[in-house]
Amino acid sequence: MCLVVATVIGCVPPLSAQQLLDRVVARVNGIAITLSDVKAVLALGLVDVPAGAGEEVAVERLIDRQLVLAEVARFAPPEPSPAAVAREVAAITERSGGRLAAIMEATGLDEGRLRDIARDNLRIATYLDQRFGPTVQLTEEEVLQYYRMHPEEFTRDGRLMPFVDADELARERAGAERRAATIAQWMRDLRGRADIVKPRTPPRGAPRAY
Amino acid sequence: MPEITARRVLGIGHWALCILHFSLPAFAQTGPLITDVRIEQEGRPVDERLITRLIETTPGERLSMQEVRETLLHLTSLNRFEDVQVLQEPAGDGVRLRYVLFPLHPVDRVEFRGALGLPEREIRRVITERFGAAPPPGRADEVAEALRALYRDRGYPAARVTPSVEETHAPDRATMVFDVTAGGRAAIGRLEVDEIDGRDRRVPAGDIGIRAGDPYDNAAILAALDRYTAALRARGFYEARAVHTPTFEPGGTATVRVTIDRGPLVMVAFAGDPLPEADRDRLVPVRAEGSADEDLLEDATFAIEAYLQARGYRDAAAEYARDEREGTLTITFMISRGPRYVVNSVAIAGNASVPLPDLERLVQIDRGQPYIQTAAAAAATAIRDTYRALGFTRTTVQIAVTELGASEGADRLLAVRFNIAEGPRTLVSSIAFAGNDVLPDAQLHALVATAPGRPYSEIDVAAARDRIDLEYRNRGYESVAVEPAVSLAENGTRADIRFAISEGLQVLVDDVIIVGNERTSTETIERELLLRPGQPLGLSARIESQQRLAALGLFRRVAIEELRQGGGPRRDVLVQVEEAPPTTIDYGGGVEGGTRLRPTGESGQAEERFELAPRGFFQIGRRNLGGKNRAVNLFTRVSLRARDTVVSDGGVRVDRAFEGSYGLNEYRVLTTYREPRAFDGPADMMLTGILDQAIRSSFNFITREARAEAGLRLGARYSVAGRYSYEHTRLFNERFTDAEKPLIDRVFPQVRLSKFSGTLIRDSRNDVIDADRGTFLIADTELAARVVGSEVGFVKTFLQGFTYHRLPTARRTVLALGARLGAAHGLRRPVPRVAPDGRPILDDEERPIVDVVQDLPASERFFAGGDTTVRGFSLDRLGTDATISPTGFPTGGNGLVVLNGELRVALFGGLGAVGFLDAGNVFLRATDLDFGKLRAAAGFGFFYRSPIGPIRLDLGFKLDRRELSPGRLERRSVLHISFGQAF
Repeated sequence: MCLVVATVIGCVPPLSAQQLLDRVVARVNGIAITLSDVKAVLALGLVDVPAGAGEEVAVERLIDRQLVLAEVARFAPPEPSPAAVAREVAAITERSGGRLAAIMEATGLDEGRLRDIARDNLRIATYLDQRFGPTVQLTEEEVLQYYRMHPEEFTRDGRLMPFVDADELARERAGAERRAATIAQWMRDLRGRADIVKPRTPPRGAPRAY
Repeated sequence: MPEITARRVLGIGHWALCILHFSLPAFAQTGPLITDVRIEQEGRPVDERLITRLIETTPGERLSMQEVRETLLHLTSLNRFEDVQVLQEPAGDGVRLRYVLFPLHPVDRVEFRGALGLPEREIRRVITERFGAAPPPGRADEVAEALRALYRDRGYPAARVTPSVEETHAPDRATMVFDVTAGGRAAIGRLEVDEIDGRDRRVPAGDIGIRAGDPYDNAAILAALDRYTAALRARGFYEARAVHTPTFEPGGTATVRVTIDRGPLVMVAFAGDPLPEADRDRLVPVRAEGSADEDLLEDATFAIEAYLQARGYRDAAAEYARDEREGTLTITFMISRGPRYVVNSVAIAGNASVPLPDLERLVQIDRGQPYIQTAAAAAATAIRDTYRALGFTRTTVQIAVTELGASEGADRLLAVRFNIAEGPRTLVSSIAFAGNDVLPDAQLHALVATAPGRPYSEIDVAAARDRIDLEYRNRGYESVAVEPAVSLAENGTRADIRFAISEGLQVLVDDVIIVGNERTSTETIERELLLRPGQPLGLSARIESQQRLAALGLFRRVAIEELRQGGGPRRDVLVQVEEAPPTTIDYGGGVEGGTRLRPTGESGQAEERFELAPRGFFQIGRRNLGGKNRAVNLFTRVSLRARDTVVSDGGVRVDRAFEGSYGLNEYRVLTTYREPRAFDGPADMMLTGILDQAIRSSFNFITREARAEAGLRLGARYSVAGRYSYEHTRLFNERFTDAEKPLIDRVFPQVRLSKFSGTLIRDSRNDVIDADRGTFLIADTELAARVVGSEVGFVKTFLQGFTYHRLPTARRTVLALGARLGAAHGLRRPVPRVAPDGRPILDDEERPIVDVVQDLPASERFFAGGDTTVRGFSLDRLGTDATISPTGFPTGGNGLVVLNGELRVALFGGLGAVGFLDAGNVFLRATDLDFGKLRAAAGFGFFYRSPIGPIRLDLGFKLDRRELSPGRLERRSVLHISFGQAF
């Protein structure tokens, strides 16, 4: 994280050049996602981006997040308490490694929006738990199937653990996999119904000529 | 990783960020100085006010990324731009900001190029059905995929479809282009048909209507298979199914494999008690559904039982059995309906707190009718609900059905008894609120209709919850949740109600963006909006704003939507309007039919004659003048009527002078100017000029009038108006002699009136033209006086009240009642009597003879009779002896009473029937008003509810015919043809 922040603050293009400050990177059902949004969530670690992936992956994550937020608005879960929101803000602050103020200024993030982001995180989590349940009930056969299909996860010191010993871990992993698969399918359905537009405009600094 | 998707959505992962490389501009505690801000679109500067007012970055201030982002979001929320890029570049001592707008290019054309192979209209139809006539540019690939599937289905497996979007500018539009190379069409090379029917028989391919050598067409094959399975079902194979799979061979042919599963031959049989033949297919829809699965059969047994129970067979039972052998499935429904039960008596017992008649109204079970359990259960529920509304939370109602020994034929008689155990009455003990920070307890208590000491009612609690919820939503708390919880104590006699409130965040209006108004000023729209930047985004304010804008009449369409930027608490409000054409032209024509008085009787006596009067109107209006919702309107109307008869010439009657020819002798020209919220006040102002020539029963008149009026709405139901009018009226073609004329008409054949008037209206009708609920009350008072320029003075009051009730019947039945009361008083005025040459007429003592006039001029007096007042009489024909001349023509009076009652019943389509009873009369003086002298009429009629309002035909009958002259009775009936309801 520190490296990221250092990169954000350090790689400053010279003022002599034309520089792109912000732009629309996607519109989800009419709601704009901006380049500054992408940079803010990356800098604050608010979306999960695999190593080597760039802003495009972050944009996809933000699109997903926006689709989920629309569902959250339709079937609103209980409002998180101010204390819970404050804890989530503190967690975000901690992840920023003490450079929160600089990130906020550089990305146009204010404290109100930061609280909104924290509140949305909590509402999304509550919504997903309500909709998909925190745990998934599996049959013994399904747990055993997972154990057989993923032996590497149950190998300790080169030896495959007996199923009796791996049962609890296998149940947990299989449940998590099932839940993730269900949510992934739900996300695909949401995307299928949504109007997602990514501008076909030129990259930064090179506006389309007419 | 197993949970990766969930964590993506949650957005809490943060392990991979350290290797990302991107750049952000550096902002220390203060950004660089903004020296210039430019807005560009397609290389041109933009100075449109709607755009510039949304720019939050200002030259001379430090650059703030927060303001940049806010500006960007405002601009994109206009839904006009595909992208907005914000660029900075060095300029002077700071930076220049450039907002580069990339407009959306909505697709307005779809083009197909290349060798299509298929008819273009078919391709276009497929796109239109799935994606609309103009698909969004972002869905071009999806559309292309759909086209490839279409080509494959039509036998072009190798078709290539390449989409592209070609943009055009000024205006910004796009054409979606599909380059198509259809390739060769596959023919059916081989057809393989298998039928699974238990006898291992292969169906000859020709039987199913598909032939080898035909071009491959998926839709045609499906249609052929549908026909084949339909034929099988018609023969009783209700579970027949047919599917096919194509394989496209490299040689350009297609192999089609058809599998037919015709299933067993299904026979449906009924055993036991009879079931009417006509209802069998409906109750057991095996044939209609093409299925005999267990769910359908089980539903059929329930349907049969319900059918029989609804006819009094309360013990009815049905079950089915399947018997499949040798390819035949026989489904037999065994029906045992048992005896029919008939209600012999209905009793209600155990009620102490609710009077018996109130409960009996809830029990829709009649003696002698079949006993229906569901009806009894519904009655028990209604009784229980009644008690609950009164605070009896533990009331139980048990239905006791006793079979009586006696019977009527095969029927069994039942005594039905509702045994009520009321239980204790629960009173509200306390009402408390939790979680409310924004609204204090006192304010919330005001929203709760119930209070400690009152009966506890679940309905009251639910209503209170809804009101609290709405109050919060009106304050912008869109995610508020109000959960009532009730604790009963002291054996159920006390209820403690607690509302747990989760307020959530307050949503505020960030900016109000108005788009679509080209002629209408933004101020005119803003004036109607109840949403303001910085104020709560309230639910009712939003709905009312939309209604107020629509009520302006300036727009074809009004939409107010909030633009969410994530889940944030500040939102832009987008007001989109589509303006209506500023100039409107209306014209029309019709025929009015009614009975009118004509001096065609012996010695010029009035006779009632039915006349048709063709009429037409033309109206032209221009609205939204100056963008301020001002409007001017010109209305003209003309009627073709029989020419009037001059029966009086120099005071000498001319008998039977009726001419009978038609002419355009009734017309009205009316021009109005309307200015809403005149002089920035709350009232609307209207200026009107009128030129009117009309034919009444006793005279004709021509009026020129100028009028100024101010009107103000006082809430949803009340309105008040004040007006001043200056008019000049001339009578001509009077149907009575000078001796019969009231003095004022002789003295003032032309009269100038200057008068003030005021009107108070209460209107709660649900429909102005054809109401079935609500009331309409109107009180109107006029004052004319010489001191304000009038030749005669008077005060006049006219009170009207109408009420409409929809009766609880299957057909739309409306009871309409009306009452009208008019009273006027003329102010005394001495008038010297003059000879025809203008010289004063002197008495014996050589003093001028002076008459005292105290009547109202003819145009201001009350008349009654006709299609909107008392329908047994022709127009104006109603009156006492003092207001009807010896020849039978009405002279009008200063007092009026009209009472109406009408029952309107919808028959079928737009046709309806009415029955009515009217009464009323016209009195010479207001002090002569006497309800004992009202004349009554009854009748019936028909109406047709046309798109422009009801067209009506009424036939009224006098209930007390009188003798007009010795041996000559009034006409018994009068026919009216008119537009709109009578009142």
